[in-house]
Amino acid sequence: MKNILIPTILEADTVCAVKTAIRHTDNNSCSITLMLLHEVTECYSSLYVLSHTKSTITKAQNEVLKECRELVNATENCTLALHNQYGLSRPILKNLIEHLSIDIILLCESYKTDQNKIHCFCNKLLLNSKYTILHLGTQVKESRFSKALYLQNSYSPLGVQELQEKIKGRFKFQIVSQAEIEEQENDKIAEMILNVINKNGIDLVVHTRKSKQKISGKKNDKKQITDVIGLPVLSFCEESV
Amino acid sequence: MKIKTKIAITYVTLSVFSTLLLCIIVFYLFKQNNQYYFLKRLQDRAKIVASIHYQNDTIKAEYYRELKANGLEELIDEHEYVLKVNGNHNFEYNTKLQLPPEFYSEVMKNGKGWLEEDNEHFYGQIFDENGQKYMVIISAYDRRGNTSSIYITRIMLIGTACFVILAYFLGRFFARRVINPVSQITDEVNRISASNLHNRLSYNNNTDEIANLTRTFNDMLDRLETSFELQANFINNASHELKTPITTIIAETEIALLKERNPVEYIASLENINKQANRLGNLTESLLKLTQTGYDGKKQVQDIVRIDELLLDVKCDLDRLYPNNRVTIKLNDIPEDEHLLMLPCNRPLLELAIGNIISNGVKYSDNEEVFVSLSANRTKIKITITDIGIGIPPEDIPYLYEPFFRGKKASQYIGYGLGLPLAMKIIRMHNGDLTIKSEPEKGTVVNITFNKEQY
Repeated sequence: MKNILIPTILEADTVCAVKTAIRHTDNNSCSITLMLLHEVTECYSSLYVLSHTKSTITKAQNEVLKECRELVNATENCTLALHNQYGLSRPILKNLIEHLSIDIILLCESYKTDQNKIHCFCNKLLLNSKYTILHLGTQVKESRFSKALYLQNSYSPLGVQELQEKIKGRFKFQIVSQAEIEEQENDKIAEMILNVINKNGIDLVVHTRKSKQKISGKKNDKKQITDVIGLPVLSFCEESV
Repeated sequence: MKIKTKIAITYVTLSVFSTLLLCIIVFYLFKQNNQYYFLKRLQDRAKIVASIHYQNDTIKAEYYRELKANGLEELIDEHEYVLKVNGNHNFEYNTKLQLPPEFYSEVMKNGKGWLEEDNEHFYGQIFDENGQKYMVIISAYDRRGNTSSIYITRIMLIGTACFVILAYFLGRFFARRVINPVSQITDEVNRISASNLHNRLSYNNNTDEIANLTRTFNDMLDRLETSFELQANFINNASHELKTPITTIIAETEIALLKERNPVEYIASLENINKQANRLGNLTESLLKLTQTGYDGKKQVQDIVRIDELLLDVKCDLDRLYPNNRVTIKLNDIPEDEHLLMLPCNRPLLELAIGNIISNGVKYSDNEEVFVSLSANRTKIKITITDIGIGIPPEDIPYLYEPFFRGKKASQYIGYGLGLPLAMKIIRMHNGDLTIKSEPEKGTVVNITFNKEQY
């Protein structure tokens, strides 16, 4: 059973995320959980918190939710759940993911770019976690991921053969190209990567990251190479692969 | 200052320092030991003197005197004094003794004590006989101890001087031994220039730093030679390699134009032309990039290719060029785990290289059978191409990788002598080795081995 978590603000791209999640299940039974995060005001009284927490969603959000439900209802193997989460911390997120037996987390572009404090915090927690994350990017195609490009960090000891062996059975895509990236020389190689993506029909980028990186409040202005490419990025944590 | 001199100086300094330290420790311990035994002798004499003093029996007293004179080793300038002690701080003083009051105080307090003044040793001890205390003081020169000290100091000085000289020569010898391989590398590298870039530094299979340095130099020379030759021969390589897809396109169009055909046939023909044109484009691009930048897999996007699929694609292309070819791809030995067959590479270039080698086998065996076998494990992928052709004379083998070289027998066939040199470079750029074994009139075996990077 594959369980998928989608932290969302119920923008239009959530529908794409749900479609991608359904495709990823490969007709296996799967539970898709949409997680709506809400901030909690600091106070000493539990009663105050309970009386002031509201889970209202707008009409547009409701429409998106309705569309997602229709998509999931059209399948026989998937179920959709909406999880309202009030407040967040690293242990809460960890326990939630373990409780729901989540295999993969889908991050939509709208959620990643949202400026809300709690959503930014959730993003950072996820990026520093050991869970497998699929960043959906800006160019979500309605296709099964079949051909992948592996962006290997220059410092990473994980070669393409090792990676393929370790993820064997979990994903059905084939790594058809590989590029080694260094933080300093992203611009030079980005053009070459885009050419290869077009030439080889690549629809997914596979990338590894380190967990427990420093969470800084500062915004990083430098564009990541995966942002330039725009394709969905499947991000594995090097320690947990 | 040269590293060789630095090493020699450091070696000599360290040796001298440690030798001097050892000499000082030995000298100090030797002195202590001498002093201990000399005092012990003084102590024995003091006991005998006390005994003589107490004896009322003249025979016994005489016996003790003889024992002291004959039985004990003679001391230089020996004197003995017996001072009667009257109270705790009161004793009979002897004016011959010019000793400091501290010495007497120490003897009175501890029962014994000693003092050294101008190499003369004084030993004092309190003896008690029938309630009457006596202070016995023995004085003598430790001439033998001094002589031994001077003797051992001389030995040490001469030894240290000899050792410094020896350390200097040994230091130079070891420094030369350590630096010599580096000097040899420098000499060999100096001999390599643009005209003999194919020369390599000789190295053994050691894992030391020098062997690593040599290997790194050789790798650098590989890259340099490849880039240099590729740039020099770009037009030749491009013309040679683009010939094949162009020939296929021309043949396809000629066949298509032979008679009027139905749309399905035209579509099939156009698809084939399109495929070959794409291949032409990829090849041109790859060759251009290769010539511009040299090939460094770390700075390029590599294709992850299943090598068995690549061989089958090469065979398809050969079938178009040589429809009657008898190339057999044997995949019996390939492992079940498909990941072992994966190779990061530049696909168009590798296809070109392997295609060149197999087509050479077909060409020079007059369409006889050519076997291509594949095997792979965790560390390497090996392709063996065997033909039953004209073979290569041993004298031609060293020149096989030189562009435009044509063997005597090979010159009867159409060719330019560019395919194999380029194939060799491409394989080497993919961390591979190409070895050729051949016997004239029997055939040729080409082994291509790709070494996988181990993490």
